Amino acid sequence: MDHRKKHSKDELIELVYHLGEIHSQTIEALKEHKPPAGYEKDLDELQKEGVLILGGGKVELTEKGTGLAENIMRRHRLAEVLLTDVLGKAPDEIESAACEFEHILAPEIVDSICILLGHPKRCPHGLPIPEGDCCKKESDKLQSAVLPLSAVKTGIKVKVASINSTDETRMLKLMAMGMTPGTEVMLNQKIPALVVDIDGNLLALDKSIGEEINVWRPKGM
Amino acid sequence: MGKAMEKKESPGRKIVIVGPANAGKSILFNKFSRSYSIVSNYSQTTFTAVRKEADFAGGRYEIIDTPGIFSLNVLSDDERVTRDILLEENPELLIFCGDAVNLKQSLVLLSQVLELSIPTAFCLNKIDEAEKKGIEINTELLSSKIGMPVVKTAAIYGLGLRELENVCRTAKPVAPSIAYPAFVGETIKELEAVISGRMDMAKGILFLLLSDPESGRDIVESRYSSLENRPTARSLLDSVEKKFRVISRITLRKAILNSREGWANQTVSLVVKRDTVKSPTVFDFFAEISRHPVWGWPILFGILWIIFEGVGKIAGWMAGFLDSILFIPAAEWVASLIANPLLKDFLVGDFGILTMGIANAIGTVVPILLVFFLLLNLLEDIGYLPNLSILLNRLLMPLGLSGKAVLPMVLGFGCNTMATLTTRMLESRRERILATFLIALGFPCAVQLGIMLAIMATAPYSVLLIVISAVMVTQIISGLILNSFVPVDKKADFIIELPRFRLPNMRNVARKTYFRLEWFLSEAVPMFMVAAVAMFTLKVTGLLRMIENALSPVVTGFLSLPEKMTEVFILVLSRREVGAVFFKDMVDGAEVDYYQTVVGLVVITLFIPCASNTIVMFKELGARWAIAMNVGIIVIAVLVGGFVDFIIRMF
Repeated sequence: MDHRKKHSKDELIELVYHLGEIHSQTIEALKEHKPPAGYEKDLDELQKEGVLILGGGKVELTEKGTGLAENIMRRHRLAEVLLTDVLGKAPDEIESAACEFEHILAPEIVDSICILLGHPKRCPHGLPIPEGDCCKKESDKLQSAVLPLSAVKTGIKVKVASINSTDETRMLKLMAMGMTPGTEVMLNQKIPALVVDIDGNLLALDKSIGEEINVWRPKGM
Repeated sequence: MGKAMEKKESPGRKIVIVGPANAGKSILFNKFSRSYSIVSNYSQTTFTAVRKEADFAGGRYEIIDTPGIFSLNVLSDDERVTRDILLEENPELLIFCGDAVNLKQSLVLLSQVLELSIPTAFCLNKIDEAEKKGIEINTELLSSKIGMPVVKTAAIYGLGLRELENVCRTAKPVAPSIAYPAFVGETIKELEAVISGRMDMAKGILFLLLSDPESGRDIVESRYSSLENRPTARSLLDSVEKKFRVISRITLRKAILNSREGWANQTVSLVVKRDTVKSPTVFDFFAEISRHPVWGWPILFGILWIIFEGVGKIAGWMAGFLDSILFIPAAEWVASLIANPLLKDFLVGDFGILTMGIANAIGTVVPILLVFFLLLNLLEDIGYLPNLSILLNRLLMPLGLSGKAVLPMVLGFGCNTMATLTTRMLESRRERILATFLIALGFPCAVQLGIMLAIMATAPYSVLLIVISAVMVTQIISGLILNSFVPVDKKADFIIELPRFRLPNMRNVARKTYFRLEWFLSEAVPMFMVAAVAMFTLKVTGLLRMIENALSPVVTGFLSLPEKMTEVFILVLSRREVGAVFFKDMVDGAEVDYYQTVVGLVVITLFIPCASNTIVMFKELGARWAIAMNVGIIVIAVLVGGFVDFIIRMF
């Protein structure tokens, strides 16, 4: 199988997976999402390979296909987080770069990036990132560049890296109160609740919320 | 607009004061409307809109003070109040009250408010505090950056208000120059195509519709609330929904918020100079120890002790003094003038309109309230109360509440009705139910608390200890039970802003105490008199006897209280403090013994919320919960009272 061929199949698998996420696994919806050229042939081949099932105008991934897709999505979305959170790109600038990334990352590197970013749960577009082995084990062999705010000592200035919460309201609220990536904050107190100094304003939050705020590891910690 | 017609709002011209929390909106409101809206040194003091008509900037306007908000995306009910006023009441002018101490956050919100395309005047309040903190803001540069005049104000001292009023005369809608990412712009264009011709909406509303489906739904539905327009609204929402099912709303929200943040950050970096060396002040030190996991507690108990002694002893002494030089001689003098025994009883008897109505209300209650509110307002002005949330957060978690619920509960000591309204600041309905219940169950209101403290201050300390432990244990057990069967809709998030401690502004404290007292006098004194007349009627007609006989198995049997206690309970129903005052008279007159004092205090504390609190419970939580809570509370109060009676008589 030549290299380009593999790319377009991967993209097709990704697309079918995404259709599953938005609950519209039909051929019609597939067409609306601009599938790669020659997708009809790829679909047939993928069905033969046991990756997906076609029929009745519907398209669904098999168990094998879902496994494959989760792997690809994980690589793709981790790449997106890396590009936005670490390199500071806007979400609409990164699509093509992330597509390139997903094809070249070896599995170990994917896990390293995941650890580095503190096992993010969602991509910059808010879609879930499938868990890898490293997330399940919460392994930290590689020292992560970020750590939760609740783990920082008091009196040290740190920069917010990301807010890693699945609760949308909470995330918005924290951001509205000034807890945004790039902001310098300092812990004043940890018990019985966290007190954070953001630019001279004090915010009190429960420790469990502080665990969802990733900050860049300060020097010497 | 259909909605406006339905609401029967006055067609008057409206000015809305809006801004981030704790920026000083209420002070501006008070100055401009020449009236009084409560001012405190913490966020969310104003939890409902306060309105007043006044002459301002050369016209007659309805000026509206609103709860502080972080953004127009609604998170809690009090923020909803503000958003609805902005979007549905067609204000002619907005006064945006920015916080100079926190310019960046103010600018982020300002950008969202400006996108509503309503003429806006911008003032940067608390400029005095900013200067003290070494924050220097170049307002001329800021004004040229955002394209509108910026007025520096220190509203608490009245500085800059005249200039602000002048700026209001010429305020125009301003569009902030924020660079949104390309895909946000494209999405907005697509949305405009979808709704074109069907709605006329400012950019800010489009943003809301895009990024916040819940708010979008509210807005569209309220604009198309009349019956014939409903299908239009539904089809509009459906097409928006279809269009954006694929695009993540979080992406849009984040992108929009990031752009606003970026704009604000850039602006702040240009116009703000701050002294880098910011040494912690002595106030910061006090703030820190007051929420310290160890030192916080002795400080809290110290404060409680001062309140106890202050209210019990000082106010008790003042009340006794007033009684001896004024009310008792006056009552005797009135009694000596009147021969008719019925009329004498009506005026100065047990339930006399003068003795119970006026002398009790003014003689007993006012000194208590004076001391209590002075201390409470002092704590509020310093900024102490939010620190309690931190101290108590962990303890409240098993009850399904977060530290945030402390504020309404502390205010519950002021007035339960007010506290129940303040629970609006809590984000989930579940938390509101739990907090409302606990407030209604065991939190005496200020006057009742004061009177009870006065009773306990003259009794042995064991009374205080038994009553407090009984009430707290009841609160905890009933809270745990209620928590286990109210369905979980959302976990209580504990995120609050803390004010910095500051030196109390004595004028503010005195003013607030005065207004709270005035509010009591105008509201409660008539109630005292009505209660007196009602009780007098019950007594004269013999109905009172009948009720007492009917309830005697519970009151005298189960609770071992004198029959007269029934009268206290009836009074508590109408207004908690009236019953408490009457009970105090019984204790002072040695009509109850030690055990009966304890049981009486426990039952009164737990007993059913007063009429106005019940009405608010109906409004805020609906009939089902209000009735269930009231019935539950009566049962709990009687059972606990009986249990306490049983226990203490064993020793």
